[in-house]
Amino acid sequence: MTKQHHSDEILSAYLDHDLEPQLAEEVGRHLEECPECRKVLEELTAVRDAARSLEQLEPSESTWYEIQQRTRKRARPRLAWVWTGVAAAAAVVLVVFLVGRRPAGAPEPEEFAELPSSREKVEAGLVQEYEDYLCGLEAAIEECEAALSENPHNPRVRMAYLEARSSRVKALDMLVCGGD
Amino acid sequence: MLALLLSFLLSAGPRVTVVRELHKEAVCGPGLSVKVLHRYGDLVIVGSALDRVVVDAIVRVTARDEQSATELADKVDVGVMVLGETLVVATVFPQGPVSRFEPSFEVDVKLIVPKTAGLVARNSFGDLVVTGIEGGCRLFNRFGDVELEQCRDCEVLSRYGDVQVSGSSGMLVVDNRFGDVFLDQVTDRVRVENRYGDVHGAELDGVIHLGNRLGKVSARRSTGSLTVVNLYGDISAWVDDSGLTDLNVVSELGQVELNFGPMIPFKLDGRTVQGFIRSSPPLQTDEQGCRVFGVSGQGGPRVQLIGAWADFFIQAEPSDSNDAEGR
Repeated sequence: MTKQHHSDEILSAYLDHDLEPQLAEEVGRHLEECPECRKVLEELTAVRDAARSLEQLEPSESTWYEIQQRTRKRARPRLAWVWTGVAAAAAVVLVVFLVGRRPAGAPEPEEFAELPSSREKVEAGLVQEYEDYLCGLEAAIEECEAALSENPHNPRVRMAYLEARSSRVKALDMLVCGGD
Repeated sequence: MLALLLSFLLSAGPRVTVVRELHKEAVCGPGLSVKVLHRYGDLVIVGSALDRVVVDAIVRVTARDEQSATELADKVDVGVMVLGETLVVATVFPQGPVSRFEPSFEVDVKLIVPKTAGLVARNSFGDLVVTGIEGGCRLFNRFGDVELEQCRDCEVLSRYGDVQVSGSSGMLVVDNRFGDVFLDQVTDRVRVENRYGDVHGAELDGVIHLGNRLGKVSARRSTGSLTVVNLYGDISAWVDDSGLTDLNVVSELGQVELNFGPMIPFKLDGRTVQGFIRSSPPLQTDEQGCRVFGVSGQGGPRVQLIGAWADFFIQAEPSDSNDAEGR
């Protein structure tokens, strides 16, 4: 048995069949003999299955990893108001996939019963935020188009228009295929 | 849609820009409020002790040829008129079909108004900067940033831009969507609601409410009563001024990072349903790891944390030798 445990990223990629064949084979052999890594894999599988049961727009684990990397690296240009929202939202939704961290056996104290935030509610709220966010971008695009009909070569209007369209494409792209 | 995109590509031909300056003044007597309606350029409004409104504007019009640009520039105006009890300042652009000229209109306006007059200002596709207004103001901006400085009793409604407020007092309400909000040295009563950007506050004093949904919220060197509510974004709060009386933090999903300054006494009680809690003495957690509590020193702010799926990271230091008794 390989002594070193595999990282969550490797196991997640193994789960998604994203590993090179040789590495996948090695991880598979390790998993046969390592109960700890098998347990981690089971947890990752459970998270992935839970994610699949959510709204249809939820992308894969690797997508969120990609988003996280991007939000850390991306510098914020002028008039990047729209992108900021996507980045923030993406970073937050990433967290959703990491919840459920409390051990399954741990009971929730009765005193928290008044807090209405079930996981379903949180996820439904996030989906609503995304929808509102996209609606906001649509409204921005419409408003810019109206302004362009009056002032077709104004640089600010053009920049806002292109930024809104570009951000909408990025937002949809991120949701559908991870932004690549 | 396609025509718009094509026009972007075809706009690289030779173009001529005509610049025109405007200057106007009008008496603004006591009891009059000022309403400003502007688009396509920056709008700067400065409060003064004068009893008049002074308008200085720079008009830039670009078109295919000089004649067209001049003709259009002559039709751009900043009108000043009194309607009832309101002095209205409005930027006027040519009406009718002008697209054959393929024009660009830009008008930057600087306005001096009586500082005690009530002010309503709207702008779009440009920044809105307001300084020294004491009679209250309501600002609406779209596609541009808002800067508010040394003003009293203000409401800011902004979309698609940042909002920056400094040195202001009285009642402040900020409603923003696509952009960040920055508050610095703002006092009295403050309510901020943001959605897709971050909110940053420093040296806030009074009854302060910072609300957000998807961005981060941070607050430093606050005094008085501070409430931070964030649904999905992270919160960073500092208890680093002994003038803070109470701090309430509510987070649905985002991480909460709480830092205590040295020698600041406090009393803390926090709970989270599904998150982790990481803290250091003098704070303690219960067996289930979902409640944190502790006392350091005597007096100081009461800190309450409420989380649903939020993780708490709390950095606390004993305030003084009384700490052991406090625990």
